[in-house]
Amino acid sequence: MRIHQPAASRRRLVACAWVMGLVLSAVSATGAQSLSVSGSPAALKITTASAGSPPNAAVNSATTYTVTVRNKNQPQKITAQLDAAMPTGTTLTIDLSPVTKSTSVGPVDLATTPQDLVVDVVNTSSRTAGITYTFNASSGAGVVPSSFRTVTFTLLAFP
Amino acid sequence: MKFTKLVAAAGALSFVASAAAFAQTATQIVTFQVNAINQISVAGAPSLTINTAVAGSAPTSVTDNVSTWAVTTNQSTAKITGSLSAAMPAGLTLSANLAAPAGASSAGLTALSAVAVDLVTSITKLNASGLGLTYQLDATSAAGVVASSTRTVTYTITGGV
Repeated sequence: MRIHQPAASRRRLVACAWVMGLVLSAVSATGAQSLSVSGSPAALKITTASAGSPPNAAVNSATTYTVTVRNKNQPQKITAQLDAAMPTGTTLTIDLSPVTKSTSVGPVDLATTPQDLVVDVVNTSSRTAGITYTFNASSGAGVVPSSFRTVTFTLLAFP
Repeated sequence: MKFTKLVAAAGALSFVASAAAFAQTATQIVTFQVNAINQISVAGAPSLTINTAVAGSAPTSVTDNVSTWAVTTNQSTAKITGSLSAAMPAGLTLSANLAAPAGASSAGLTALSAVAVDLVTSITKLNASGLGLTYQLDATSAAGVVASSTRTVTYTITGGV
Protein backbone atom coordinates (compact mmCIF):
# COMPACT_ATOMS: atom_id res chain seq x y z
CA MET A 1 0.00 0.00 0.00
CA ARG A 2 1.57 3.32 -1.11
CA ILE A 3 1.39 6.27 1.26
CA HIS A 4 1.77 9.79 -0.02
CA GLN A 5 4.75 11.47 1.73
CA PRO A 6 5.36 15.04 0.41
CA ALA A 7 8.42 15.66 2.59
CA ALA A 8 10.13 12.43 1.52
CA SER A 9 9.49 13.20 -2.15
CA ARG A 10 11.09 16.59 -1.85
CA ARG A 11 14.17 15.06 -0.25
CA ARG A 12 14.42 12.58 -3.09
CA LEU A 13 14.14 15.32 -5.67
CA VAL A 14 16.87 17.37 -3.99
CA ALA A 15 19.13 14.34 -3.74
CA CYS A 16 18.57 13.51 -7.41
CA ALA A 17 19.48 17.04 -8.37
CA TRP A 18 22.72 16.80 -6.38
CA VAL A 19 23.63 13.49 -7.97
CA MET A 20 22.96 14.75 -11.47
CA GLY A 21 24.92 17.92 -10.82
CA LEU A 22 27.95 16.10 -9.50
CA VAL A 23 27.95 13.57 -12.30
CA LEU A 24 27.58 16.23 -14.97
CA SER A 25 30.39 18.17 -13.31
CA ALA A 26 32.62 15.13 -13.42
CA VAL A 27 31.84 14.36 -17.03
CA SER A 28 32.38 17.96 -17.98
CA ALA A 29 35.76 18.10 -16.26
CA THR A 30 37.10 14.96 -17.86
CA GLY A 31 35.71 15.73 -21.28
CA ALA A 32 37.20 19.18 -21.54
CA GLN A 33 40.88 18.37 -21.10
CA SER A 34 42.74 15.38 -22.40
CA LEU A 35 46.08 14.03 -23.60
CA SER A 36 46.55 10.82 -25.54
CA VAL A 37 49.08 9.14 -27.83
CA SER A 38 48.52 7.06 -30.93
CA GLY A 39 50.43 4.06 -29.64
CA SER A 40 54.00 2.98 -29.05
CA PRO A 41 56.75 3.37 -31.67
CA ALA A 42 58.47 0.46 -33.37
CA ALA A 43 61.75 -0.65 -31.84
CA LEU A 44 64.64 1.76 -32.32
CA LYS A 45 67.60 -0.33 -33.52
CA ILE A 46 71.11 0.95 -34.12
CA THR A 47 72.81 -1.31 -36.61
CA THR A 48 75.30 0.71 -38.65
CA ALA A 49 78.04 3.33 -38.53
CA SER A 50 80.40 5.09 -40.87
CA ALA A 51 83.96 4.10 -40.07
CA GLY A 52 85.47 6.75 -37.83
CA SER A 53 82.12 8.06 -36.63
CA PRO A 54 79.79 7.05 -33.79
CA PRO A 55 77.00 4.59 -34.60
CA ASN A 56 74.20 6.03 -36.70
CA ALA A 57 71.15 7.13 -34.75
CA ALA A 58 67.82 5.32 -35.02
CA VAL A 59 64.79 7.54 -35.61
CA ASN A 60 61.04 6.96 -35.39
CA SER A 61 58.43 9.56 -36.31
CA ALA A 62 55.43 7.28 -36.66
CA THR A 63 53.43 8.19 -33.57
CA THR A 64 51.35 11.23 -32.66
CA TYR A 65 49.80 12.88 -29.65
CA THR A 66 46.40 14.52 -29.31
CA VAL A 67 45.67 17.24 -26.79
CA THR A 68 42.73 19.37 -25.68
CA VAL A 69 42.69 21.88 -22.85
CA ARG A 70 39.68 23.00 -20.85
CA ASN A 71 40.12 26.74 -20.98
CA LYS A 72 42.11 28.81 -23.46
CA ASN A 73 42.82 31.28 -20.66
CA GLN A 74 44.52 28.58 -18.63
CA PRO A 75 47.52 27.47 -20.75
CA GLN A 76 48.89 23.99 -20.24
CA LYS A 77 52.19 22.28 -20.98
CA ILE A 78 53.22 18.73 -21.84
CA THR A 79 56.08 17.11 -20.00
CA ALA A 80 57.65 13.67 -20.36
CA GLN A 81 59.85 11.44 -18.26
CA LEU A 82 61.32 7.94 -18.27
CA ASP A 83 60.63 5.22 -15.73
CA ALA A 84 64.37 4.42 -15.57
CA ALA A 85 67.63 5.94 -16.76
CA MET A 86 68.98 5.02 -20.18
CA PRO A 87 72.02 2.70 -20.42
CA THR A 88 75.41 4.40 -20.21
CA GLY A 89 76.45 5.98 -23.48
CA THR A 90 72.95 6.08 -24.93
CA THR A 91 70.36 8.85 -25.14
CA LEU A 92 66.70 8.84 -26.05
CA THR A 93 65.67 12.18 -27.47
CA ILE A 94 62.09 13.24 -28.09
CA ASP A 95 60.73 16.06 -30.19
CA LEU A 96 57.04 16.94 -30.15
CA SER A 97 55.81 19.06 -33.02
CA PRO A 98 53.64 21.87 -31.65
CA VAL A 99 49.89 21.86 -32.01
CA THR A 100 48.23 25.08 -33.16
CA LYS A 101 49.29 28.14 -31.13
CA SER A 102 51.52 26.13 -28.77
CA THR A 103 55.31 26.22 -28.64
CA SER A 104 57.58 23.19 -28.91
CA VAL A 105 60.73 23.20 -26.82
CA GLY A 106 62.44 21.18 -29.57
CA PRO A 107 64.47 17.99 -29.16
CA VAL A 108 64.89 17.04 -25.51
CA ASP A 109 66.93 14.24 -23.95
CA LEU A 110 64.56 12.21 -21.83
CA ALA A 111 65.44 11.51 -18.21
CA THR A 112 63.78 10.23 -15.08
CA THR A 113 62.81 13.80 -14.19
CA PRO A 114 60.04 15.58 -16.12
CA GLN A 115 61.17 17.59 -19.14
CA ASP A 116 59.05 20.27 -20.79
CA LEU A 117 58.23 19.36 -24.40
CA VAL A 118 55.42 21.67 -25.49
CA VAL A 119 54.33 24.79 -23.63
CA ASP A 120 51.52 27.34 -23.84
CA VAL A 121 48.95 24.83 -25.07
CA VAL A 122 45.61 26.68 -25.35
CA ASN A 123 43.56 24.79 -27.92
CA THR A 124 40.13 23.93 -26.58
CA SER A 125 39.39 21.60 -29.45
CA SER A 126 41.26 18.40 -30.18
CA ARG A 127 44.59 18.85 -32.02
CA THR A 128 47.10 16.21 -33.13
CA ALA A 129 50.82 16.52 -33.91
CA GLY A 130 53.82 14.28 -34.42
CA ILE A 131 56.24 12.68 -32.00
CA THR A 132 59.83 11.98 -33.11
CA TYR A 133 62.14 9.73 -31.13
CA THR A 134 65.89 9.62 -31.78
CA PHE A 135 68.04 6.95 -30.17
CA ASN A 136 71.78 7.63 -30.05
CA ALA A 137 74.63 5.47 -28.81
CA SER A 138 78.32 6.16 -28.52
CA SER A 139 80.84 3.53 -29.57
CA GLY A 140 81.64 3.14 -25.89
CA ALA A 141 78.07 2.09 -25.16
CA GLY A 142 78.88 -1.28 -26.67
CA VAL A 143 76.20 -3.76 -27.64
CA VAL A 144 72.88 -3.08 -25.93
CA PRO A 145 70.35 -5.92 -25.92
CA SER A 146 66.71 -5.17 -26.60
CA SER A 147 65.36 -3.07 -23.73
CA PHE A 148 62.45 -0.74 -23.18
CA ARG A 149 61.49 2.33 -21.23
CA THR A 150 58.07 3.72 -20.42
CA VAL A 151 57.66 7.36 -21.41
CA THR A 152 55.00 9.14 -19.38
CA PHE A 153 53.52 12.31 -20.82
CA THR A 154 51.71 14.68 -18.48
CA LEU A 155 49.49 17.67 -19.22
CA LEU A 156 49.99 20.34 -16.57
CA ALA A 157 49.26 23.98 -15.95
CA PHE A 158 51.71 26.35 -17.68
CA PRO A 159 53.82 28.04 -16.54
CA MET B 1 20.10 5.67 2.92
CA LYS B 2 20.37 4.68 -0.73
CA PHE B 3 20.41 8.33 -1.77
CA THR B 4 23.11 9.15 0.77
CA LYS B 5 25.34 6.45 -0.73
CA LEU B 6 24.54 7.65 -4.23
CA VAL B 7 25.44 11.21 -3.38
CA ALA B 8 28.70 10.06 -1.79
CA ALA B 9 29.60 7.98 -4.85
CA ALA B 10 28.84 10.84 -7.20
CA GLY B 11 30.93 13.16 -5.06
CA ALA B 12 33.85 10.76 -5.17
CA LEU B 13 33.54 10.45 -8.94
CA SER B 14 33.49 14.20 -9.27
CA PHE B 15 36.60 14.54 -7.11
CA VAL B 16 38.54 11.93 -9.08
CA ALA B 17 37.50 13.44 -12.37
CA SER B 18 38.48 16.91 -11.27
CA ALA B 19 41.89 15.70 -10.12
CA ALA B 20 42.38 13.94 -13.43
CA ALA B 21 41.51 17.12 -15.25
CA PHE B 22 44.45 18.87 -13.62
CA ALA B 23 47.06 16.27 -14.64
CA GLN B 24 46.21 14.17 -17.66
CA THR B 25 48.78 11.50 -18.53
CA ALA B 26 49.55 9.19 -21.41
CA THR B 27 52.31 6.63 -21.86
CA GLN B 28 54.35 5.02 -24.62
CA ILE B 29 56.66 2.03 -24.46
CA VAL B 30 59.91 2.69 -26.32
CA THR B 31 61.99 -0.35 -27.23
CA PHE B 32 65.62 0.05 -28.27
CA GLN B 33 68.79 -1.94 -28.95
CA VAL B 34 72.30 -1.55 -30.32
CA ASN B 35 73.71 -4.33 -32.48
CA ALA B 36 77.39 -5.21 -32.85
CA ILE B 37 79.02 -2.71 -35.19
CA ASN B 38 82.47 -3.04 -36.79
CA GLN B 39 83.44 -0.74 -39.63
CA ILE B 40 86.78 0.11 -41.25
CA SER B 41 87.62 2.34 -44.17
CA VAL B 42 90.77 3.57 -45.90
CA ALA B 43 91.45 6.66 -47.96
CA GLY B 44 94.18 7.39 -50.44
CA ALA B 45 95.64 5.85 -53.56
CA PRO B 46 99.25 4.96 -52.81
CA SER B 47 101.80 4.45 -55.54
CA LEU B 48 105.31 3.18 -54.94
CA THR B 49 108.21 3.21 -57.44
CA ILE B 50 111.75 2.08 -56.75
CA ASN B 51 114.19 3.83 -59.02
CA THR B 52 117.49 4.27 -57.24
CA ALA B 53 120.06 2.57 -55.11
CA VAL B 54 123.27 3.28 -53.29
CA ALA B 55 126.08 1.54 -55.06
CA GLY B 56 126.84 -1.67 -53.26
CA SER B 57 123.44 -1.85 -51.56
CA ALA B 58 120.03 -3.19 -52.50
CA PRO B 59 117.66 -0.83 -54.32
CA THR B 60 116.45 1.92 -52.05
CA SER B 61 113.08 1.22 -50.45
CA VAL B 62 110.26 3.70 -50.94
CA THR B 63 107.42 4.66 -48.64
CA ASP B 64 104.03 6.25 -49.15
CA ASN B 65 102.22 7.87 -46.25
CA VAL B 66 99.41 9.73 -47.98
CA SER B 67 96.82 7.18 -46.90
CA THR B 68 94.71 7.18 -43.75
CA TRP B 69 92.32 4.77 -42.16
CA ALA B 70 89.29 4.99 -39.88
CA VAL B 71 87.51 2.58 -37.60
CA THR B 72 84.34 2.25 -35.55
CA THR B 73 83.65 -0.64 -33.25
CA ASN B 74 81.35 -1.02 -30.28
CA GLN B 75 82.91 -4.33 -29.34
CA SER B 76 86.01 -5.24 -27.35
CA THR B 77 89.37 -6.62 -28.54
CA ALA B 78 88.65 -6.29 -32.23
CA LYS B 79 91.58 -6.51 -34.63
CA ILE B 80 92.52 -5.41 -38.12
CA THR B 81 94.06 -7.84 -40.56
CA GLY B 82 95.43 -7.14 -44.02
CA SER B 83 95.99 -9.33 -47.06
CA LEU B 84 96.90 -8.98 -50.73
CA SER B 85 94.83 -10.01 -53.70
CA ALA B 86 97.87 -11.94 -55.03
CA ALA B 87 101.40 -12.69 -53.97
CA MET B 88 104.05 -10.07 -54.75
CA PRO B 89 106.58 -10.71 -57.54
CA ALA B 90 109.69 -12.56 -56.43
CA GLY B 91 112.15 -10.28 -54.64
CA LEU B 92 109.55 -7.58 -53.85
CA THR B 93 107.95 -6.96 -50.46
CA LEU B 94 105.00 -4.70 -49.81
CA SER B 95 104.53 -3.79 -46.16
CA ALA B 96 101.92 -1.74 -44.32
CA ASN B 97 102.03 0.10 -41.02
CA LEU B 98 98.73 1.15 -39.46
CA ALA B 99 98.89 3.65 -36.62
CA ALA B 100 96.92 2.38 -33.64
CA PRO B 101 93.96 4.25 -32.21
CA ALA B 102 93.89 4.99 -28.49
CA GLY B 103 94.25 1.88 -26.37
CA ALA B 104 95.02 -0.44 -29.28
CA SER B 105 98.31 -1.98 -30.40
CA SER B 106 99.91 -1.72 -33.84
CA ALA B 107 102.07 -4.53 -35.20
CA GLY B 108 104.18 -1.87 -36.89
CA LEU B 109 105.52 -2.28 -40.40
CA THR B 110 104.35 -5.74 -41.47
CA ALA B 111 104.94 -7.58 -44.75
CA LEU B 112 101.72 -8.30 -46.62
CA SER B 113 100.91 -11.50 -48.47
CA ALA B 114 97.94 -13.38 -49.78
CA VAL B 115 97.44 -14.69 -46.25
CA ALA B 116 95.87 -12.28 -43.75
CA VAL B 117 98.17 -10.92 -41.06
CA ASP B 118 97.36 -8.96 -37.91
CA LEU B 119 98.11 -5.27 -38.22
CA VAL B 120 96.28 -3.72 -35.23
CA THR B 121 94.90 -5.55 -32.19
CA SER B 122 93.01 -4.78 -28.98
CA ILE B 123 90.66 -2.23 -30.49
CA THR B 124 87.92 -1.65 -27.98
CA LYS B 125 84.71 0.40 -28.24
CA LEU B 126 85.88 3.45 -30.11
CA ASN B 127 85.62 5.46 -33.27
CA ALA B 128 88.68 7.14 -34.73
CA SER B 129 89.55 8.62 -38.09
CA GLY B 130 92.54 10.11 -39.88
CA LEU B 131 94.83 7.41 -38.55
CA GLY B 132 98.14 7.05 -40.32
CA LEU B 133 98.66 4.32 -42.91
CA THR B 134 102.12 3.90 -44.39
CA TYR B 135 103.17 1.54 -47.19
CA GLN B 136 106.71 0.49 -47.94
CA LEU B 137 108.02 -1.32 -51.01
CA ASP B 138 111.31 -3.22 -50.81
CA ALA B 139 113.10 -4.91 -53.68
CA THR B 140 116.20 -7.03 -53.95
CA SER B 141 118.60 -6.54 -56.83
CA ALA B 142 117.63 -10.01 -57.98
CA ALA B 143 114.03 -8.87 -58.45
CA GLY B 144 115.15 -7.13 -61.60
CA VAL B 145 112.97 -4.66 -63.44
CA VAL B 146 109.29 -5.04 -62.54
CA ALA B 147 106.68 -3.47 -64.77
CA SER B 148 103.94 -1.39 -63.17
CA SER B 149 101.63 -3.69 -61.28
CA THR B 150 98.85 -3.38 -58.76
CA ARG B 151 97.65 -5.30 -55.77
CA THR B 152 94.45 -4.90 -53.83
CA VAL B 153 94.99 -4.73 -50.08
CA THR B 154 91.98 -5.91 -48.11
CA TYR B 155 91.63 -4.78 -44.51
CA THR B 156 89.22 -6.64 -42.29
CA ILE B 157 88.04 -5.93 -38.79
CA THR B 158 87.27 -9.09 -36.85
CA GLY B 159 87.32 -10.75 -33.52
CA GLY B 160 85.33 -8.31 -31.42
CA VAL B 161 83.36 -9.65 -28.48
